[in-house]
Amino acid sequence: MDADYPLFRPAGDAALLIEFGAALDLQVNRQVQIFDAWLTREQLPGVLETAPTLRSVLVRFDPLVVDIETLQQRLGEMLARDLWKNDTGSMVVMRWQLPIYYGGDTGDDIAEVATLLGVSVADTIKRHTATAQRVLTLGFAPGFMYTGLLCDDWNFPRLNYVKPSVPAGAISVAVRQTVITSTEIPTGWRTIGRTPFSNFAPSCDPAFLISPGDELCFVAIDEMRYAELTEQQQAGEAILTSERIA
Amino acid sequence: MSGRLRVLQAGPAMTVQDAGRPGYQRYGVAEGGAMDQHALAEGNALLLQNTDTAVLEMAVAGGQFQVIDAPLQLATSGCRMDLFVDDQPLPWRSNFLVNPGQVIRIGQARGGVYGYLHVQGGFDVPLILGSRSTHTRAGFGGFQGRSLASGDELVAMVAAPTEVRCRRLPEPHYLERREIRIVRGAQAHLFSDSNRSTFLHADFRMSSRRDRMGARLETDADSFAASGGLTGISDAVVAGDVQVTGDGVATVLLADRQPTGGYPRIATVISADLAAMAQLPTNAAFSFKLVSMQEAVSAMRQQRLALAGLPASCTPLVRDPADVPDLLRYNLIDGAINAQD
Repeated sequence: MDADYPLFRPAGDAALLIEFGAALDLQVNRQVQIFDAWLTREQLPGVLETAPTLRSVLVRFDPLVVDIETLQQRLGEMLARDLWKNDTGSMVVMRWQLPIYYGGDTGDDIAEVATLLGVSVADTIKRHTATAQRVLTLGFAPGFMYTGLLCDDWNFPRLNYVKPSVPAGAISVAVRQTVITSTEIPTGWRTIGRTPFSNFAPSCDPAFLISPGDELCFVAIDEMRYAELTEQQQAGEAILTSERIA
Repeated sequence: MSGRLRVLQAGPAMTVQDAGRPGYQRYGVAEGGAMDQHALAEGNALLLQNTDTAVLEMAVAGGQFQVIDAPLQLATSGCRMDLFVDDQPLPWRSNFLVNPGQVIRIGQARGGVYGYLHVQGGFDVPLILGSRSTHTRAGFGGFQGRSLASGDELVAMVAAPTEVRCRRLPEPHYLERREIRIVRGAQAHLFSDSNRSTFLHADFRMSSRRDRMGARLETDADSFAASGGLTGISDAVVAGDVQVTGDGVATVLLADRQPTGGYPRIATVISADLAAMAQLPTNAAFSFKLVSMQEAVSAMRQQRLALAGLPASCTPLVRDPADVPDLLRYNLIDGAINAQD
């Protein structure tokens, strides 16, 4: 970690942003998640909510309960102690098998992605499913997952236009990341498939099954299996298998 | 049987809202809730109920409603709108009882954007992630996850209204505010001193490109866009963040904002002025004023004290002899007034 980090940045009069690095990398992202887990466990007075993102943690607080200087000092002391860095005990990490129907109506950018990679569509799927991906953060929309990081040859930019709408479950790629929607949204990413799983089920408990820090193993399924699993998901059944890895 | 409110004619954006659903930003859900939290607390103070009770938020204009099955004890707050019950005008920012069959007409917003219709006990919609707020973009919460349309019916949580004497809220000063107080934003360091200074001295106008997510601001000032150092990495966004895109357009992010964003935030509206910001009339001229963190917190403290004191600061609607026509009008609506008060 860079000597200057972590950095405190007040975000309005009721939140602090703690930046752990200037750029996104897996180590910085893991520190964000471990520190967030620590904060969640410590329950500092006045802290209302924390949210880990790619390279920073947002700490929302009630300034009438704790003033920003006191909070920053307490957080600074926690960060300086370094105890949290190895405290993986605060953090539960699950590994999920995520079924994906590649191509199809939703994943109609897969041929273009194959061209960008210089391989066949079949090899694109093989490479996309080759290594487990970490959930880097949830953001943008309810249950929306950013996962990574894929190999360097997936480091192509987003589209230079925005597609007005992709459905819930759309699997899209760019900048070594795979993003997974849980609601219908516009996107500037290339969409290569669709999962029957939704990480936002407002009437279920938990409403969000997958958390930041978890790992996803992408598993290719065919159209018929996709239809079966979609039906099961809509009936409220659990369609993902998982194991706890930390 | 609980009273119901049937929508005969819906304004452009009427949604059920409450204090919002904090705690889910880590899952991609900003807290949402009423755009004017001050008004939310005010109307609920009139009805002597919890500040978090679900209300109907009406943007730009109200609509027409009919009360059915049982009487409803109602209240209005926020930006003033013309209010009629069966063609009888009633004052805004007060409470009143409406009997089954009576029709409520609520007109255009005047001097603001968001008006609120409160019911005793709140509107009975499902509690989702700890809140009854509608998140229309994600299609959940509130009434079927969407804005209300004609034919929809909202049910009150209480079976029979209890007597609450008719009272009026003190005059709202925050709706006249045209100097919105800010503190530095989380990415203010990405802007040069001169760009920050341009921003602070600029005259702004509220544009018509606005909704529950945010509002685009217009200015004739020189561009204050950040020139370099943009990482493009998204960080968490908070309510009141003023983001500046590469083309220099400033947008203030409000209740239903995206929870993360990659555009740099030059400033953040202080908590105490979020309601004033959300209520700025379209085309209204305004400016920003940089204040210290201490001033921001002090304003928040004053506001919270004022809200806590609201139930006591509401005035009886029928005492002033000048309001005699109102008195007669109110007596036409039975049960609303306790003669002993």
